[in-house]
Amino acid sequence: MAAPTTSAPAPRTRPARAAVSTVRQALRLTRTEFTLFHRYRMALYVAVLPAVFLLPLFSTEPAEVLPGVDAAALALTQFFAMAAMTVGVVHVSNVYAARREQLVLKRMRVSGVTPAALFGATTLSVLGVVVLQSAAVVAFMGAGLDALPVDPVLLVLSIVLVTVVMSLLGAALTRFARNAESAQMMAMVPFLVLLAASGFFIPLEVLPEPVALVLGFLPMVPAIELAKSAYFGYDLFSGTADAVPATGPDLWIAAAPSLLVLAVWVALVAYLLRFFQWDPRGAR
Amino acid sequence: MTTTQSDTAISVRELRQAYGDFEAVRGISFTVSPGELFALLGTNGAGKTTTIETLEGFRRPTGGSVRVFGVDPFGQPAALRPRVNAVLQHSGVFEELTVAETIELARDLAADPLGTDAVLETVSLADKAGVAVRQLSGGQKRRLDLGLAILTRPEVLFLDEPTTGMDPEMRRETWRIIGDQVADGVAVLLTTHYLEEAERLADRLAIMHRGEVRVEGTLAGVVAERGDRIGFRLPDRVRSEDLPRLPGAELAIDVREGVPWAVYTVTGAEVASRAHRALGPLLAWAQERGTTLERLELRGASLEDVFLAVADGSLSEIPGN
Repeated sequence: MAAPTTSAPAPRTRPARAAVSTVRQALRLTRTEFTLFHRYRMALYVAVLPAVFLLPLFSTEPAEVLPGVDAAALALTQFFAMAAMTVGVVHVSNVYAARREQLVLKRMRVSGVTPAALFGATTLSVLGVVVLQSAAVVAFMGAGLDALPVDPVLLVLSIVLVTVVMSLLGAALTRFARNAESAQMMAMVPFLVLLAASGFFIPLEVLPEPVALVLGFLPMVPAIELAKSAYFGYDLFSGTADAVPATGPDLWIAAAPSLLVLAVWVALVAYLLRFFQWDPRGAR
Repeated sequence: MTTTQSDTAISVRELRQAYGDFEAVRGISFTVSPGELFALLGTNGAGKTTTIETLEGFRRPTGGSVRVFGVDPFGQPAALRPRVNAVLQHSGVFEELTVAETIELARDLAADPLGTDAVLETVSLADKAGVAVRQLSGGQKRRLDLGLAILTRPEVLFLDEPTTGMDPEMRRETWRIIGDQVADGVAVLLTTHYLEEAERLADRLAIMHRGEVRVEGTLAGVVAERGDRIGFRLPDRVRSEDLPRLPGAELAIDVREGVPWAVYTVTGAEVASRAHRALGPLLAWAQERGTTLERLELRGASLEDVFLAVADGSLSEIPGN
């Protein structure tokens, strides 16, 4: 092999190469994320978990809470945000902690993959799963409860926003997990907090007004209110009791504060990712 | 358009890196040129991986500066991405993908990569293309790591213990691949615990201890500072003062296996011939006295001697390069 010498071979002149664009990297990684999602058995369990929370709804007696809106159907619309939270926070924090521990993330970075491509691919894959889950729920509601979204664009936008928030939050949370095992435990804290603060178990109407106001600034409440309102064409942002029919621009104007809250959360978690650790030794 | 080729691919100047109050790297400096392999050796915790991580752009230096092709890797990582790659301390790939899927993914993420078949052939994993990464042996995973690193046709390669877990045959084959990269003009920064690896591959090397570079230079230059050793069991009825003085040699009496040994440490600038010049007079002395030098041994100075001297603190200054 090489004899010790200071004379090095003449360097090869290499043509300049532009790096692959972040968008192209993200789309390619998204494809791999779907493959991996299929191969991670745990991920499939996580994907069906939100449905478990909704099982009790099927035992409720039919009751019309608003004109033309069944109580079970109204409750089912909470599924969209629940799915985003479960797959986003629980699944993403688990896989990111494991990948960091196995130096997969660091290997990607040193190979020229941008952070935006990595986080973007994860978000797109989670979004894909959540959209599939949501489509199944919409199909069920359409066929079984004769309820289809009044404003599908607003519904999709709310699903996209909450999924982005939860997916990036899952990644950002790994800053506080030493390894994959601790990430599983750690992810349950925000999961349970967000679940408790979602209005799913305790309606906001029965909470003290200041508490309800604060919870409205967490991502779950606006996401659920957006989904309910978009699905049934009511302004439900002040609670079911005060709901009034709203469609088109009126509905979007009513939805603006909730959309803004989610947009702020997107910006906040994106900022938190600046402190993401790429390897177990704490390198950034 | 072509990329500009600097005389220096990697430049580290007075680099300091601290974790809180603990300073892991304390003002080290070195350079690596295109087509050169520089080995960074040292005990565990010496600061090697921290240095590499800084060069990879994962850490901002606490003090001093690092540059890769004149670019700050922490401040401008995007400028270096197509030109740099690495083999990390342990395998960093998706275990659920197959070998071929892993390489295809890396190809799709890189600009102008090598072909899948070429990479598989180079790292001798063609017969494992359809095997899940998790089913590979430790050595095979390291080969895959190396394949992924060279796939992007980098101009700078950081190799952090690239042959750990490999059997001797696989290690030699890997040395050949690394040697080919160097011959192709790639600047390589290697860390390894295998001193033979550094002896075989390194054009220049540095030995770190407790965050500092204690020894730096070519292998010959570094080893020249240490002496060759001539040893033999001290003959019966021969006292140490009876032993001859040898040119350029210092005598010491050691005890091995409970019996006294004479050990000459031979130094001198002419490394290739210094042991020969000392051995002649010793054999003449023995013949003249009719004495047999039992278990006579001659051992040239080695990198291991230098490394151990650094590790035990007896060598704490940088000798002349």
